[in-house]
Amino acid sequence: METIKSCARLHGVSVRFDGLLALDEVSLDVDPQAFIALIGPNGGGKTTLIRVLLGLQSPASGKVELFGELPTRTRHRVGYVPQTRSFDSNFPISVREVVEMGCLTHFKKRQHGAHELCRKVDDVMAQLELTDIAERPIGTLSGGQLQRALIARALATEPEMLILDEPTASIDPHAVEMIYRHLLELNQRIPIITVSHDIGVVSQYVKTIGCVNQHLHYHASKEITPAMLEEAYGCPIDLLAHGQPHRVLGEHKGHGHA
Amino acid sequence: MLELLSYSFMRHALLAAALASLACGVIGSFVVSRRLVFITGGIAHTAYAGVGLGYFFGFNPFVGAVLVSLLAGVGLGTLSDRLKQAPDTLIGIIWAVGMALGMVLVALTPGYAPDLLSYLFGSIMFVSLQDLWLMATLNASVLLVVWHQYKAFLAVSFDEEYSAVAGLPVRFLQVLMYALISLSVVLLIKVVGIILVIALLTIPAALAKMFVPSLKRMMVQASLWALVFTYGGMFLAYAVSSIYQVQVPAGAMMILLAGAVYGVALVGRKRILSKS
Repeated sequence: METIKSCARLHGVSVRFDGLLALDEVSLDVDPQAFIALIGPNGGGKTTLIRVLLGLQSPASGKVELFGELPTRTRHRVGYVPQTRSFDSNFPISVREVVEMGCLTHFKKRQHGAHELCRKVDDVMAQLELTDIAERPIGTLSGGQLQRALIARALATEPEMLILDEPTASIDPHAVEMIYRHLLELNQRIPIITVSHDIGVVSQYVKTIGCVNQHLHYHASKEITPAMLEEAYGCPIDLLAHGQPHRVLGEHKGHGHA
Repeated sequence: MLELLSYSFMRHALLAAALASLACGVIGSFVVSRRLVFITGGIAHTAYAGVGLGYFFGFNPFVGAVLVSLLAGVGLGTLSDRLKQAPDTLIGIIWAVGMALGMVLVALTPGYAPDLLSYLFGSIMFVSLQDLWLMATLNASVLLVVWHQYKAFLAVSFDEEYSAVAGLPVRFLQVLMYALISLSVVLLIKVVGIILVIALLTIPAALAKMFVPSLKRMMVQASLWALVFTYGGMFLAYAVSSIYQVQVPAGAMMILLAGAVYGVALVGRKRILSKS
């Protein structure tokens, strides 16, 4: 019997790449109010975990549900923000065209008119402060602008959940703050899962944190215990919690996730 | 010069070049921005197996080329994932095997030995009316599909994984794209030949990419560049031929012209960028 309806669920999921175990018996429940950050070392399986959730990677064993069904059937209801290195950032495409991609399937499915589609794209771009750079090719954008364009594309689908892979990688602190403020606002309506390697920043904004390193160390809380980090990163990390419950300062911050 | 237009072979050549330029610009823009140049080379060379099949079994070699390149393109699009082989390995293999099969079949065909060079370097001065109709039909289908599915192609070309999550039929669109590339390759074989097909799909689009920031405008500009190169190449071939009193292949001249313009643009652009 469940008391809380979950938007996404992994149950005992294991993933292997050529026999190598990438994820081992991972279980996770994402409730409708969730704002989860997944942290962990590079190659620890953070991205693999969300790829499994989205049905882009099939698990060797275990069960995956997205909105109660197979991910491949329901993933179009998720707004997905991939890593910027997953595509060619010099592709000849403008910000507007990127955001319009979000409306593509939507547009067909619900038979929206072209006008409505245009308005939707304009709205989302205004919301993420992209209007002034709408016609710029993406190759000319800053890291923060590109991320906002990708988030706008995800929002244009009118998603019921947001999944972001490293949305703040290699962008300046001001842009990071701006992006997380947008996410906080969105989280009032939809659950959000974000992958990050920046423990200090995410812990200020998200509700819960999980560490992924083949296993998922997740206790549905924002506390990161030293044991959790040690297990996830394979080295002891000092936590500075007194008076700053949301700050995590790691002595080994550079370790394992350059 | 103008009296040349009174010859039907010349009118055919000009029409064929125009048809090819349009396909070059549109498909070449996808090929260049998606980095599919090597796959295009593979498809082009494999097509020679189709030519060989045509000669050996006595049907139009052009039709054979269409069939085999379609098979190669669609096969590469679907199999490289499933066979767990690196795509460039498979491309290298079908490239060589296709070419070899064509050579053997042509050698086995008794009687008149077809001119291999005309398939390698094209024979734009010998385009028949029937060829023109075939080209026009292929061109129309390629353009119609791209026009109809432009936004979906753009999405899948730019970001495959996102497109899959968003619910686009990524696999289908990819196979369709490979099929379109294959059709365009065959279209171009008639004009510039198998070896030089890569250049006409690559150079005009690569040039356009230097100057315009969007795929749509890239397609338009690449088509114009392709037109300049094919017509310019024919003119140069005519001029050089009359100076040296020997036959110079038009296809090769087109590519030399295109390569020269590309080089100049590359150097000129670097100069401008370093000055600013």
